Amino acid sequence: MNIIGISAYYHDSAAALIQSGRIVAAAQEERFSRRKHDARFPGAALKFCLTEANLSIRDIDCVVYYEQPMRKFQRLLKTYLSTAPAGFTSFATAMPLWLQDKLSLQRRLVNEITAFGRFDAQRLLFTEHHLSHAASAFYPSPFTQAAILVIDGVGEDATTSIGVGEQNQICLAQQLRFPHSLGLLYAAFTYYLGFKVNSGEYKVMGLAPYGVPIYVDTIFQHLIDLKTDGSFRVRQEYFNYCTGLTMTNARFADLFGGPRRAPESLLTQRHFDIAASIQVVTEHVMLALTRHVAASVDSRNLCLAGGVALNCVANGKILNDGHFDRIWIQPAAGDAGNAIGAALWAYHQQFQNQRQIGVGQDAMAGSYLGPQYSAEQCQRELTALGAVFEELTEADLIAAVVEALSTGKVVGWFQGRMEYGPRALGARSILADPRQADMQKVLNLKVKFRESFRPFAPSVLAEDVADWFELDTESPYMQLVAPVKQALRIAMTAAEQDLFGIDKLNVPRSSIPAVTHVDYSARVQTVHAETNPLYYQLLSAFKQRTGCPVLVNTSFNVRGEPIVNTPEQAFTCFMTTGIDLLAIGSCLLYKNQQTTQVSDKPEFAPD
Amino acid sequence: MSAGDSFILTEWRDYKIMNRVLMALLFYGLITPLAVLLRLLGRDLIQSQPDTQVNSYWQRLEPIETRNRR
Repeated sequence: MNIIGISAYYHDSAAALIQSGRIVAAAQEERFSRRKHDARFPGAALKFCLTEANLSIRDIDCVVYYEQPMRKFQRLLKTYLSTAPAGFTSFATAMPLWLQDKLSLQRRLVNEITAFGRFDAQRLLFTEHHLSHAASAFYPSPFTQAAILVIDGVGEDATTSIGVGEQNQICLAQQLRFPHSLGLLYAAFTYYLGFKVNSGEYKVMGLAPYGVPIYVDTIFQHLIDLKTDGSFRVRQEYFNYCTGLTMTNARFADLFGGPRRAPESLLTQRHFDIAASIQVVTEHVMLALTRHVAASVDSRNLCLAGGVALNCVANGKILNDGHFDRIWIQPAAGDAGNAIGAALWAYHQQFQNQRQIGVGQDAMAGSYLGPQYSAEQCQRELTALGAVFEELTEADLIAAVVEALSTGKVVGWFQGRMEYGPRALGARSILADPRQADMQKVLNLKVKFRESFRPFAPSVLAEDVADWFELDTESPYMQLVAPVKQALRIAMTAAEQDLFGIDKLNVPRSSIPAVTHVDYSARVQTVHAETNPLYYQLLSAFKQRTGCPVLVNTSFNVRGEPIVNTPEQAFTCFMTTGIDLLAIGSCLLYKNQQTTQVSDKPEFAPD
Repeated sequence: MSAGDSFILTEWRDYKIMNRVLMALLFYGLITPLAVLLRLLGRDLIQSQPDTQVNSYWQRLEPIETRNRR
């Protein structure tokens, strides 16, 4: 049985293919269209899924759309009926779109799919937003039975859902509904701090360690009413997302002592303190939620999904809270992951197929579910681009890359199938030595062309994780934040403590400074031989050479650019940034040997 | 700019104005009176206010099989 899952028309559209219950292919449209967070119909991603399995649309038993557009429309109407006469601006903007386009979504989807071959509406199914999140969290997990928690902005109307998964069945039991949403609350602060909603949230999380959470009481007093069982309501008089085109209003600005920060403008301590406060509140609410889940569902396993589950700092706290023995988080926890979830839901619940559970392993295959390029394809593309490269055996390639890394070089690492989800996990990554004191600065200025308040994330050999971080579980998808091991830390002097922002980040705070945040935390990725043998070998060889099983792993892109997908995009990024060395398949390229000029440098709007 | 272009622009602007007028009619003529009526009846469709009288805001769901799906 072949099932396609589709997530589209909000942000981060994606397509996924399930064959006999196995996830065969999945990718986000942005990687093909080169438009970050692309929300259009994922035609290129769908084409990739079909090509990957050598199928045509005739072979597809059904296509599953990740939510119910009509229920979403009903929620909008209900909201206007509650807020009118306030809300006209929002109404006048949203309604024409709905009336022209979205209400006829079924027809539109059928039309889009028909471009690939004959397709009729009978083969199109719709699930619910939180059901596809829950399915994406439970079905690929290694658990036979688990509690499920979905937390996001909003789908149709659910914003928080608690459920149980057992074998091939998922049942959602409790919900919180719009406008009461932890995701929207965090998004409101993201907006207020001058970042983009639905993508800048991780920046707020990254700013938080610089601040003092002095506004926590203010938030609990004025903005959110949290009950002891984790349920909550958000006080709408401070927000604008029900009735307007912005997230927060003037009353909100008064509460935090000033207007919204203009995007790209200077960040001050006040902004840091606000970020720290909403992060603390979010962690507090998430812990209350997971404790309530533990009390309501008889299971020691927890599956998480929804955009808020990308808050890896909070995830680390949930793990430490000890109410669950094991936690599994869908790597594409945001709406992109709903493509997988929708397809898995149909396979197991609509068609009642048995679930296959891997022994001790999840079904995401390391999230390496995207396109890959054969050695011949890589060579052909590189030759056509005029690249100067040598072909090496695997052992020689690894030796050369380790040599470069340990002498402070920045390496582009393009290997195997592209990652599904927002993180680069060693298939489309830029790698560097985390021990070098200035590496964080070098990478940001020479490669990413930005100043960043966030350090980079470390990849570490799975069996060595406990020696380097205060973490004794796996984190293959970079979804847990844990402190750097005490013994590796370097205490800051009082003068250093008082440094501000990036100056503070540039003080070496551990023996792996490039991946250590100002609060000594790190967003860890454990690397496993089972899912990415080549990257595992590279880390092992780097450890053999240096004694350090850790590498800096940042996504292979420049600011505002979707992660590279093809060898050509990798080559362009390599040539237009300070990357010294590029390893594409078995091909190795040195920057100082290149003779071509890449003149048409693609431009990307800042993210 | 040729005359043809400006004609299209005018038409587009008219269309936008028409849209706005229609939306205003819908919003103030239909949605708003309904909203006022609901408020008079004490109905709050999205339960927008915190409630100190209850211990929990969780909404229990009926088992999934019985819910309608399209």
